[in-house]
Amino acid sequence: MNKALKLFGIACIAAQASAALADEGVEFFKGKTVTYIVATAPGGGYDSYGRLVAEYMQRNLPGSTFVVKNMPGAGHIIGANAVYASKGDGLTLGTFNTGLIYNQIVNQQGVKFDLTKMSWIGKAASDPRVVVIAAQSPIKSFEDLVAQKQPVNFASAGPGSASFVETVILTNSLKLPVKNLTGYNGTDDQLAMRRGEVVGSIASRSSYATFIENGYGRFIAQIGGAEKDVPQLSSLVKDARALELIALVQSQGDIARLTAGPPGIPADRLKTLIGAYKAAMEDKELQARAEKLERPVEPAYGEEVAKAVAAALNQSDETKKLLAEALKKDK
Amino acid sequence: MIDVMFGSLGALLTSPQTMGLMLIAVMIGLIVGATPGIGGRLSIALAIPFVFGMDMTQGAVFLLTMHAVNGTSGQISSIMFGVPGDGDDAATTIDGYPMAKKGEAGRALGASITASGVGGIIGAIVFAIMIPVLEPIVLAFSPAEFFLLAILGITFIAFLAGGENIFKGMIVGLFGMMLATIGMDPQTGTARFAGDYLFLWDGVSLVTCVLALFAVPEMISLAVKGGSIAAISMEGVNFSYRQIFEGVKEVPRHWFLALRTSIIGALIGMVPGLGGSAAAWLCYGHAVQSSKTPERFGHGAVEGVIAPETASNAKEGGSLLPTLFFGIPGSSGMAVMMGAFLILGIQPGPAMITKHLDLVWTLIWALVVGNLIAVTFLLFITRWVAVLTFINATMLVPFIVVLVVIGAYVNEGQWENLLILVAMSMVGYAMLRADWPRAPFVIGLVLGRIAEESLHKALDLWGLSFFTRPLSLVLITMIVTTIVFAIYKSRRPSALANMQVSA
Amino acid sequence: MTMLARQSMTFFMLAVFTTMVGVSFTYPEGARFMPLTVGIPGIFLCLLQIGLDFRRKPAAADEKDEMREAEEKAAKLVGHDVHFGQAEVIDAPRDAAESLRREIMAWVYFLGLIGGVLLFGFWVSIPIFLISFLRERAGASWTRTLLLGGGASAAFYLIFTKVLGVSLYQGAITGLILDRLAG
Repeated sequence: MNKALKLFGIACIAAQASAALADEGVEFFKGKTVTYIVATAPGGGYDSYGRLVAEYMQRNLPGSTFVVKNMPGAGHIIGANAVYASKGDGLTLGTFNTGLIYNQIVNQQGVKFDLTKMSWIGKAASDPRVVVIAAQSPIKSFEDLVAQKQPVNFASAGPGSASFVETVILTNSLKLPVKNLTGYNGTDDQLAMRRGEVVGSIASRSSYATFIENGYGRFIAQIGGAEKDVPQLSSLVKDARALELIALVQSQGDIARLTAGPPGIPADRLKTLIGAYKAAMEDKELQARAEKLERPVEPAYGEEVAKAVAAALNQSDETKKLLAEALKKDK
Repeated sequence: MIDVMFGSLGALLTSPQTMGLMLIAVMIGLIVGATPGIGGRLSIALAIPFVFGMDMTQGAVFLLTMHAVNGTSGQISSIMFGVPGDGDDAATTIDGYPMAKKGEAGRALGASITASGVGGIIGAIVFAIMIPVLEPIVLAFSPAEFFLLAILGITFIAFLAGGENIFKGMIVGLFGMMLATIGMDPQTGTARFAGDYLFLWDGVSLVTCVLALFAVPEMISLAVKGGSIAAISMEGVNFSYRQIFEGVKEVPRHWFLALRTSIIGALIGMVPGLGGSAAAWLCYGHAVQSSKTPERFGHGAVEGVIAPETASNAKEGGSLLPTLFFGIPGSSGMAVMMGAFLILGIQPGPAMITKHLDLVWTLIWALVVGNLIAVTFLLFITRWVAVLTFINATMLVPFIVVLVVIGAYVNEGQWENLLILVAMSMVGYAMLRADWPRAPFVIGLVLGRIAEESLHKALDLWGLSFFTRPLSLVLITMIVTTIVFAIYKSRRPSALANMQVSA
Repeated sequence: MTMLARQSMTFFMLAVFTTMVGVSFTYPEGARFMPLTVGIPGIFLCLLQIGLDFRRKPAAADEKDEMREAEEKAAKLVGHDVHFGQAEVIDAPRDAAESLRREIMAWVYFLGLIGGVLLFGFWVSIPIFLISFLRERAGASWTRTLLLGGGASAAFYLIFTKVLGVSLYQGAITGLILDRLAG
């Protein structure tokens, strides 16, 4: 009985408080420490970007201190779990690979988060996927690839990774003459292409920028992204199933370098955080630095990102089955 | 060409800002490197925000120096306390710590520091020489060769144990390889032996295992024995600069070994994919196998300190090659460096040779000069630092243990690793008391993973015929020769061994 | 080390290999390959080693005394008995019982530190560990203990949290308490 009264009383006060000052959120962060979890080890794309975001959010949230915490492991799952499980008071945020959407769709063992329930702060960039072919290969266009008589070798990262999933679902649904070789983590695939062991790969454009600039390969198709120099894969394909999957992969590429928090962050604090994030994204200095990190800023905030994530997670049963199979490669 | 070479050296030495930055980088690199568990990646990652505005050359020199020197200071705690900072250092600990126990810490440190310096410099030289032939060499190594190299390294285990302990050594090596299978397998993505324990999905943490197997048992043993780390008293030993200088002289005394291991280290560094501690351990194994008296190893053989140290430093120079000229990082540390290079506006690729040769030479010189500064500084302070091995160990032990525990945690930020630390410490302590060799474990752990990943890829690419590739055949011959040699040696103990008094 | 104790190590290894090989049968073929390739020879070698252990005479299983060995080798060289003087070892254990006691205590300290870190976090456990070890085991005076222990704790804190910016584990219980306090 007493407990109920107490709760009621607290609810009243809380309602009043949030209705009160619009700046309540900003006040809250004065003198507080916000932990920004990065789901990878120090160094590397996610870490550099994460530290950048953390630094500029701190500048735009007076009185706050942002501390970056690296929590690597299990393909970003550990970090994402940590973000999801943390207290929803607005003092913990994090960044992880958007590819975790795949892991959630198939209920992979170990996944303890629900992306639809997370509090979405925003995303910082787009990272379209591309089909890359090694320079020395005779394949010059997507049509060439489709017309191959013998299967060609493609490289992807370890089983269960986003790269692996995307390669499998795309090559399967598009019935490409491709043999998928796994285990090429990090830049191993680029080296394999140089050695001639594999002919191509389906990867993120930013990771191959240097490779292409050096003349080691060419892009023959792209999924999403604003660049006009490479044909969109969706324009080269007719099959409805395939187009659905291409759209799924595109949503991945669109929501890159995301920042999210655990479920339950109070509305005013969330608003403040989104505001600080927006200010950070619009800061010319941050934009210049992001440019140097090879990923110019293409931001989206709050609701927009949440909707995109929810849409990506909402897939047909067929797709779910296809993904589940892809994540469980048997020999 | 010559004028570019020495022009960049001149520019480097005469620019006070660049030299100043190098000094700072050396200091930071040394301090971070001396702490177990803190990887070099963290220091670079922390430095990156500062680098954003810097001039291209200065920024690159700063980061490269810091990175190169990181690996150099880990040997201090390895030798003095038996506390390795990472997989590389564990190789130095095997013979370095026993030397400290004999009161020769100064000599060991003198040798290892000099070896590091020499290795780093030779690595830079190899780097410079290899520029024209880089491409064919790097591209010749495929998963098939990685697999065979890993197997070659593993066969060195047989040498490490030697004599009556040969089975124990092999069992421990297989134990290491067994633990290496924990985690997601490269073929099917099954989380082996890990189930729901996410922190095991990427395998057991190497740093935690190394600390648990080497550092903790030694600390506990010290707490029991009392006394000091050096089993002899201070009066009997001259730990002044004389002893350190003795150590320094060991490197020229074993110049051929140092040269070989530096070159091997640099070559291994050059080929992306065989990074990590492989270089240090392969060279340690090579030193054992090429010695006339291999039974000295593990008990304080100075070659066991020189070989891994030259190798791991030379590796850094070598790994710069593919990073700069291909845009393909030669090691995980280089992957971070590459990100930094991009930020600085350096575009890695073949154009570096034609358009930015001066920058390339500046970086080579930075490696050389940075190594020299680090070595000089370390040799200078070693005299005070080595004294710690003579004071009452029970005063030291608690601080070292704390550092070890922090190191095991910080490495991956997972508290579960502390449980692994405890479990493996118990195993390590049992091995110490039961007189089982522990070095083969690390070799098995490090190379076992590489072996499986490479084998799987090689089979995928060529099926079983991958054995017939030319380079593969060379390696197979080496492996077979090594095994035959090992059996031969174990049958005929060197007559010298019977006469040898502890050196 | 007694023969039984030495053999325990072999048995332990055997147990590890057998268990892991057994479990690996539940994995699909591709995943099974490496554990089997490593484990089966491992089991075989362990059995060989157990056989060897049994054949070795118990007397020879005495703990190697490097000093004695060195003396024996020197004696062979010079043709008569040699005895090296032993330097005074500070703080050596009085006898086997004291050795054992110290061994147990050392493990208690180590496990205590880990347990403390897991429950209460680094910043609570480190000072407690340092101070109690320095006092009880190293026999340092209160002044020295507090100076060294306190100073080291502060140094660790500064370096790791402030300079490097890595956050060290809070501890399960401390975490709960702090959460309660924060409301």
